[in-house]
Amino acid sequence: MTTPKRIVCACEDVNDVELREAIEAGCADLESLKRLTGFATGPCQGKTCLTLARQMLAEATGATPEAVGAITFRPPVQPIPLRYLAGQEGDEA
Amino acid sequence: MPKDLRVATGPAALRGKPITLRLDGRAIRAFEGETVGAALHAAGERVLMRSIKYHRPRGLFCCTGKCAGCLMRVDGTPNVRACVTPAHDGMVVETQNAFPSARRDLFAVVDKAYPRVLDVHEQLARAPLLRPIHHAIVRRMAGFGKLPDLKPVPPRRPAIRPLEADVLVAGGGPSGLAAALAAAEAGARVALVDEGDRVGGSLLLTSDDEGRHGAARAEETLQRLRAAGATVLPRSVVFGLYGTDGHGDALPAPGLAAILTPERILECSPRTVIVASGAHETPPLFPGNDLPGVMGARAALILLHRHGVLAGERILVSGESAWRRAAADDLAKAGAEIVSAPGARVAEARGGRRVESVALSKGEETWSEEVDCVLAAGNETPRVELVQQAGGRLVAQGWALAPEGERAAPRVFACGSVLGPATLAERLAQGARVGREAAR
Amino acid sequence: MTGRFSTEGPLKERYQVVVVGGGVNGLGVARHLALAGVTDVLVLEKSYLLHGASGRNGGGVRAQWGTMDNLVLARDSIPMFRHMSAELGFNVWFRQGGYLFLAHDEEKAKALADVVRFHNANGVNSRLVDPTEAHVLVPDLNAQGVVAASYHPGDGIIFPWAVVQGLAKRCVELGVDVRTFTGATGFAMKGGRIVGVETTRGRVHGDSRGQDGSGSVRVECETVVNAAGCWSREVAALAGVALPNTPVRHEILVTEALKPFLDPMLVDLRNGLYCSQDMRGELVCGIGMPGEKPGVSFASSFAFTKRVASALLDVLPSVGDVKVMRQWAGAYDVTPDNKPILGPSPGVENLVQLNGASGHGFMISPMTTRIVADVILGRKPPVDLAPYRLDRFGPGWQPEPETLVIG
Repeated sequence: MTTPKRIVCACEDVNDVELREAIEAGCADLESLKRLTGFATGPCQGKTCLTLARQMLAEATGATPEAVGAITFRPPVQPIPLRYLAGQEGDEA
Repeated sequence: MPKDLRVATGPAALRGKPITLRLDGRAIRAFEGETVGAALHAAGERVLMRSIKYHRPRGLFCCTGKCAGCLMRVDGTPNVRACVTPAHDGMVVETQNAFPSARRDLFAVVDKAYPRVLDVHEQLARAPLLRPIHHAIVRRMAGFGKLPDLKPVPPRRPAIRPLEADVLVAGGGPSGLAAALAAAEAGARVALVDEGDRVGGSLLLTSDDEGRHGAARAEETLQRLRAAGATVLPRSVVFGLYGTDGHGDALPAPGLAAILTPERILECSPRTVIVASGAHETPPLFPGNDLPGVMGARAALILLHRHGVLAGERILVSGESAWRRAAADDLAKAGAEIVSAPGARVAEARGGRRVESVALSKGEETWSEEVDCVLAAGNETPRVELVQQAGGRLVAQGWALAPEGERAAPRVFACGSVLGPATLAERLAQGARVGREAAR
Repeated sequence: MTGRFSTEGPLKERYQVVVVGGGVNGLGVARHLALAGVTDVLVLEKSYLLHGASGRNGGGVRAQWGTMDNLVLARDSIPMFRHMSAELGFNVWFRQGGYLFLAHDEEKAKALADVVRFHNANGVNSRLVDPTEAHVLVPDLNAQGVVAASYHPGDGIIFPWAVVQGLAKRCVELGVDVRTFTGATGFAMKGGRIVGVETTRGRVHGDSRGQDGSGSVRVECETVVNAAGCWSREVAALAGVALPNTPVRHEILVTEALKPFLDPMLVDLRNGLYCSQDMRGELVCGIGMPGEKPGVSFASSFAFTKRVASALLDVLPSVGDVKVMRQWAGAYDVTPDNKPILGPSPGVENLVQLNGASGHGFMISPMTTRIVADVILGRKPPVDLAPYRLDRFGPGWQPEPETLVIG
């Protein structure tokens, strides 16, 4: 049987306990929380976990949903193979 | 021998000739037109990969290539999203990050050894003699797939080409199609980009109030779009809206759109971008929420309507939302046993390699049900990345974030479910309105 | 309530030292001061920890530099990185897999040979390798066109986030006051000295753009350290000190994580491409962009993405189907000679500079922070300060060309 963890960030295997401990250690904003726990730094880049993380952070700190804010959604919005980015003339797929 | 979960296909699906895949050396029966994820699911293969740290079993959740729960090695390429990858005959599929395989992974002992949490920040930090071994182990355990097989080297690097368009529409669901059509019929040069192998988004999963399947509406709209001279790019994605050039100078709004198509990348500097990227399902938070078999309701509809595959044999549908209701009805009609627990919440999902039972609770009462699938999606999360990249403001919508409004950013409009829940009629009307605005 | 990585509660009215900037340098110098018994230190970080270059760089640590002044700082920082996890009680994941610089023409090959001799004469055991050995060091390397390469096995890669988090934790443990979301907005001057620092004093959640409107708070102090990275020039100007630093954007990207296959950091001297595999298995890559205009910008461009991908596949063709996950940018804090600015400022003696590291600040930080701490403590620093002083840019000054700038 798998252990009864509540997984928040599935990509980086960050569960609610780890997030809560990071918030208690002083990560009162999403960016700090991301950098300490690694949530949202995996292949899905926060698509799956950001809403839950915002909720947990707001409930732990008393911030409003607006104030909790967002992380920065950088390009690419989905992973792109290097060879397409390295496109060169005369070399077709 | 697990039961084949396939049922008859509907108008939005294409089940072609029988083919064979190999999964970790085992032969898997499949059909052309299915994605790897759907084919494996139909064959009862639920554990598609193991998670990075705890080696917990993982499988399909979103079925749209967003959640990274189905990363597999396909024909020598690592980290392929099985749920959106079309299967072909002879395809070699391997599970990753597990030994000997994802089905039976010895490293699952890590999950049991750290039942509460594993935090490596300070682990052995003050033990320099152990550091070489510790670091070597951590490094070896990290990483999600091996380097791609050499095939061919040097790789194909298709030339990047420009795409000319006045209005670029990101997303071909109901509102995106309506917006694209309105803009094209108003005389703008339109390019419509959609991730699906078949354009239509949520239209492909439902019938409207008159019982007409959305796939027909999607097809009709596409024909009119092409007749109006629009460019339609399926299996493609606008992966970035860039606001500066390589020297650091700002680009005029809405910026440079970079688009990945199956053939090559296209660069587009449109006058206007319409973000109709929709929303995706995100998981709920209960113990065992990551088990294979815990799936989004829309994901179950994708499996059913696009592939004719049941999400499970005995399915718990919990909570209330349009997607969940549609999933319960359609899956029941297709022959799955639906367990409904109105007013109850899922307290835990339990299982070894997939969901085997759920604990439910309602008030003081708790009880358990044996199920092989849980449709208990949490919030719908709008896909706001492009809006933020264009400098648009995001506002809270429940716990999720959404664009501020239809005028989402300079020269960027938003329409459809990216702005929040809406009925089909509302989405179609909004799309048409935004499309006309954008064409001006 | 005090967190492990920062302090809360009201600021004191007075601190002995105020450090402007909570990156690897600001926190590093605070730690050295605290270890020497000077704990009455305030570190002001205007945003979240790791907002600046300390949180944006690729974690490269190398001793292979072309000038003595950079080489000494980098070379002597390496053993300090080796001990850092134990000293901080926090893993920094330093992996010494070496750096491999590739030369594709005779002229660059000769320059590498010269620089290797220079290294060997100065305590850095780099060596020149031929294409065959380069291939052994990097089995997936496309060695076609490579004339020679230089390799220093002691060079390596560190995880920058862990270093800054570990430093912040250690500083707080030692009694340093570490404030995030608190910036310096002005200096109060008296008789050619800074006597006070004006700070923002908002409480924030989420974006750092929120302020609670409580107005500014002034803090008195004896010494101010300017460790503000790409914002150093602006901070120095608040005290009327002109710095010759220019911020310049540099972009970077990261791929999905793979099992380990690349040990050294690869550098292509044709274009300044660098590529390494971090502890998580991701490839981290950057390249120079010709014509990049000065300024503080963290925006991404598609021109960069294309350029770095092309350069990368030229040297590592087997990563064609590896996917880019994210790209971002930071700003190098560039001086006219690509060497840092350390020490007191002429005209404002108690404004101590700790900046100008021109894109290699992280890897020389153990030494530069030690040097500046020594200056503040009145001790003899481990190296002669003269080449790093702000007043070196006087009349008649000629920059010594630093050949091995990358990214």
